[in-house]
Amino acid sequence: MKQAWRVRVWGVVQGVGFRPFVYRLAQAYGLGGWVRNDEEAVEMHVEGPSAALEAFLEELSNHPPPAARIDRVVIEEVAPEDLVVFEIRESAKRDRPTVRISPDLAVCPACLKELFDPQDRRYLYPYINCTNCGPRYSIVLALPYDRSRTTMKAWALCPVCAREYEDPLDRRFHAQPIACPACGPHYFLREEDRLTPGDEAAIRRAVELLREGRIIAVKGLGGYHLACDAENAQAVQALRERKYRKEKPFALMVRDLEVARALIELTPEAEALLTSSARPILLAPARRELPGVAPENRDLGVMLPYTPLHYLLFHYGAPPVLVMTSANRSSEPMAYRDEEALEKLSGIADAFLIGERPIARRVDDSVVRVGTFGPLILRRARGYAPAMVARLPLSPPLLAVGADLKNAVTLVVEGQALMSQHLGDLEHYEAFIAFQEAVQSLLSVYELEAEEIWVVHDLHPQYRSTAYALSLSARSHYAVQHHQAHVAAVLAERGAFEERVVGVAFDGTGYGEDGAIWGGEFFLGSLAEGLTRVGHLRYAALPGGDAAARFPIQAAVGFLDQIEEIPDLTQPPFSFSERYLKARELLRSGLRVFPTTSVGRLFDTVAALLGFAREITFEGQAAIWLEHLARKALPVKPYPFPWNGKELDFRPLLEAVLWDRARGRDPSEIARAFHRGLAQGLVSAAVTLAEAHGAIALVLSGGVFQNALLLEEIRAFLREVLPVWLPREVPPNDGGISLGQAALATFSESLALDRTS
Amino acid sequence: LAHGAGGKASRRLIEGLFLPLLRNPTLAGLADAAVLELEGLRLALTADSFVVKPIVFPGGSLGELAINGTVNDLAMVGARPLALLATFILEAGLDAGVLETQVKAMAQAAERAGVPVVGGDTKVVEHGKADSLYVTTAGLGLVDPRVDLSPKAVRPGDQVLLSGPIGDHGVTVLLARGELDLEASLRSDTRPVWFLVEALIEKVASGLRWMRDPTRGGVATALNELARDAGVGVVLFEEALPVREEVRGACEILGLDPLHIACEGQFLAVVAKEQGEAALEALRRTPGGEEACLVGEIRAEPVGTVQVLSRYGGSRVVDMLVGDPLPRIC
Ligand SMILES: [Fe+3]
Ligand SMILES: [Mg+2]
Ligand SMILES: [Zn+2]
Ligand SMILES: [Zn+2]
Repeated sequence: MKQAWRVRVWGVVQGVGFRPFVYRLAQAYGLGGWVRNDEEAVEMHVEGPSAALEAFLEELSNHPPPAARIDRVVIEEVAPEDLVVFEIRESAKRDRPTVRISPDLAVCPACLKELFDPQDRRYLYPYINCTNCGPRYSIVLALPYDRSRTTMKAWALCPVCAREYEDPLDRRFHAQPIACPACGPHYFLREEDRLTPGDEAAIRRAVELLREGRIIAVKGLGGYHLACDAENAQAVQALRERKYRKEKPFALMVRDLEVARALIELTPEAEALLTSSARPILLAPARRELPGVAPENRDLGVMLPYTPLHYLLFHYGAPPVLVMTSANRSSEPMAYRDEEALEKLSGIADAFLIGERPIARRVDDSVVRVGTFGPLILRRARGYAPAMVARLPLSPPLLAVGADLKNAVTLVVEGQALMSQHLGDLEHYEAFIAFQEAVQSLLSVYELEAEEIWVVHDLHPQYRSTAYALSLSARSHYAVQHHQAHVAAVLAERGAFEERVVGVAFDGTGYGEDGAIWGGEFFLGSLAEGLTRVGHLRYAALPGGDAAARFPIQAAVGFLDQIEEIPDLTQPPFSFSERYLKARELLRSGLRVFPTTSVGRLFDTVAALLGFAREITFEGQAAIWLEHLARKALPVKPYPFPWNGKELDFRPLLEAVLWDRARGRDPSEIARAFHRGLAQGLVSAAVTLAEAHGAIALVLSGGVFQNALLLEEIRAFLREVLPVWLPREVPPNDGGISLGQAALATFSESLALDRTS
Repeated sequence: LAHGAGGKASRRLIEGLFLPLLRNPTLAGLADAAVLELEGLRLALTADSFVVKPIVFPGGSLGELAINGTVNDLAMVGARPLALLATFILEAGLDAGVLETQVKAMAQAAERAGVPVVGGDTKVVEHGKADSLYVTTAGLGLVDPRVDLSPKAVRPGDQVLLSGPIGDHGVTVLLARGELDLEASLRSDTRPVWFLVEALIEKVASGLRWMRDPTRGGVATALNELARDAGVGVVLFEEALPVREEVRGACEILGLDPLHIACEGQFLAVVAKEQGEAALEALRRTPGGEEACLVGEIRAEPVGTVQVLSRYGGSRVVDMLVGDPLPRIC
């Protein structure tokens, strides 16, 4: 019996080969009708025997194209129109576009097969792609997503490519970055004294240099990398010196999964992440050491090749493990424009492997890890951004600008919370420009005027993001406290609007409602009722503000001030430098001394006491060092970290650390007892609060929870008394702040009238 | 009213309240000193109030600041200081010795600067209505006919000079306030700079575009104002910035940026590109100018920003001082 359905599909369904997929499927089941994009979904009319319709829909829902993500399908039965053929129709224009731009994707198996097939016309062509794979976000200049509005606009299609592009049955039907060796861009290699044109010659020469231990700047999908042989300690050392990067770990790209398996410990879950189409950098325990790659770190950051070019590098014989670090000096944002790369990387790179296709915006590699509570995104960029991270019950558009470090911004449009890629530390000029561009391009893509949006920012009065938010002539501005935002981000991505939780936000620094520097906070409540601060780490002092974040000794001075009796820390085994005495003087003077509840600085304090007394050279270094140290010990008895109903008292904990260390106890045991003490204290506080107030889950958020060992210890103490909610879609660090800001603003009094139910 | 450690808050006050209510073309220039045309002469007029705490600090005192600050404000518009007025607000019960010491310090500073204090006024207020003593000095100067300084004269390519190391004064006073002896050899840099300015004018008058003594809010605030008012970008080279080890060390412990710290005896000058070297040489040859440096340049873009380029190729945006810098590293 013949039936007709009107089907609408929401999700990442445009620019991912969805319409041709529907077309082929309809053909296969002998259905008539049509499919088209509208401003927010893919809409189709299908008619045929009901059994065929059922089968069609099942196939559609269960096996969409690799790059697509279906969020919602709505089916409506309509009158059959006696359509026998099936066609792809042009897009329907509605009032405001809410279609999402797809993230960049790793080259797909079908393209890879062609890449290495001598009979294929794209044999060994570094820009091969199709509707199921390849660049998206990194080449989009404007919407709607169409070749003329991408960085491929300069290359006219050859007749063969044009035919593929027009053919609904072809894998490259409407693949905007479609190209072939005859009509598309190419790679070339630039060395100081010579230029090697031609894809094959250029890549082969780059490989030769890599094998000689040289450093190559490689243009990839969202920016330039610096590559060298990771197993050549001299090359790695040279890269560190030229890049002025003392200790921060380098990311690696390995030839294939086999090499990865030999290098890091891979659980099935971790392997799934590593091989996913986002192809992030996976942090996993190292199985062997690569000198200079990740000093004093248990983990290595490893990714698989994701562009055809990467595959070709290994195909032509590049060393199986390459350092692939973002191309910059020091901690600057990665270079992504050719001139900029040539200028900034001269003196670092021995050669430049440059592809002609321009990059529209910087998109860093994403970083993930699988922890005891599941996968965690530590940096959300390539492969993930700018996908939707949550739905919020809000009709007017809202922009949340995030925090100043690890910045990412979130735009909520028609209730969809879309998060930008990781934009970096806004103190850096390049990052601040990227931040402004991200905001402006989000607004223009969705055809929004600043005047009609709500703009949400951090409570910190001196954040650049705050100043920028206030400079926008928005409909209204709204400030959200940093740690509340950390917790709210987790609730938002789970769609937990009413659920009452205990929220724990532990991080380095955030501006508190009392003007103090918070970082060890307990909240109670929900998005709907609001989050109330019900407890915190006992207040300590932060002498010298950010200086205490750079020098663990200085942080230690602020915390140890409350310990009655302390040994002379300038003597072994502590051997603190003169800075210790100076910082004590500073504390005594009261100048530039801030009250703080920062757990991050508590970690720094313990690290300092156990031997990390130097300046840190990258964020979180002392805490990572401490975690690494603690891993070397067996689970020992936890140090006391008592909860008195509203604060966690660090004094007994630090006294134990201090005197055990003075007595000569193994530092790794002390570090372990500290981690366990912290976990036990947190759990007892959280469980007490949850029981007293009927909370249904424990939310953990903030940079401190990037510590995998701490999470393991928490899990052990909690014994599943309470479900733990960690962020999944967004990072636990400040990269997730903008989503939390958006969520809390959505449920604020000021927006009450604009909420949708 | 918020307490103003910063440039941004006071700038807001000036632009939001004083400028509109006291509107006139000279005021609108917001220079260190007003320049008035009078029968063919250009006279510079300025006033400044001094409320520093503590009154005496290593290398200087309130009395010296009161003279040097005003003399330097005149110098910054290219004016030779001619005469000063001094007004005192004294708290009842103030120790006579304290006052005498400060007046002596003023006398010495005035003599060093070669400017007479030709008049003034004194008021005594109730105990508790003032903090010891406040001094306001007004100054009159004659603008050198060869110069015409203004942010509007600044062009891309122009060079930025600093007369010497920065931050000495602000850090010294801050440490003195906390009775904090971090760096024993730190001293305020308070001094008159007219003699250095004079040397500059002699050498490169035609190429001299703009000058400013980076007092409150430091070099960063002064240059941010320039960048905004001139519609240009300013780039500083980290390596070239003169900062004494002691100042750097103290700032590092305090969590402060030397670029935000006040100077009382240094100035910034913007000079035409071709004359940068000559200007530098003129300063360095003048006693007290030996440590002068070329520290940066003017760019067309990005308008309104000050960037510090590091040796590592990175660039950091430095903003105006907004208040006591709060921790932001998460
Ligand atoms: Fe944070
Ligand atoms: Mg002044
Ligand atoms: Zn493909
Ligand atoms: Zn072609």
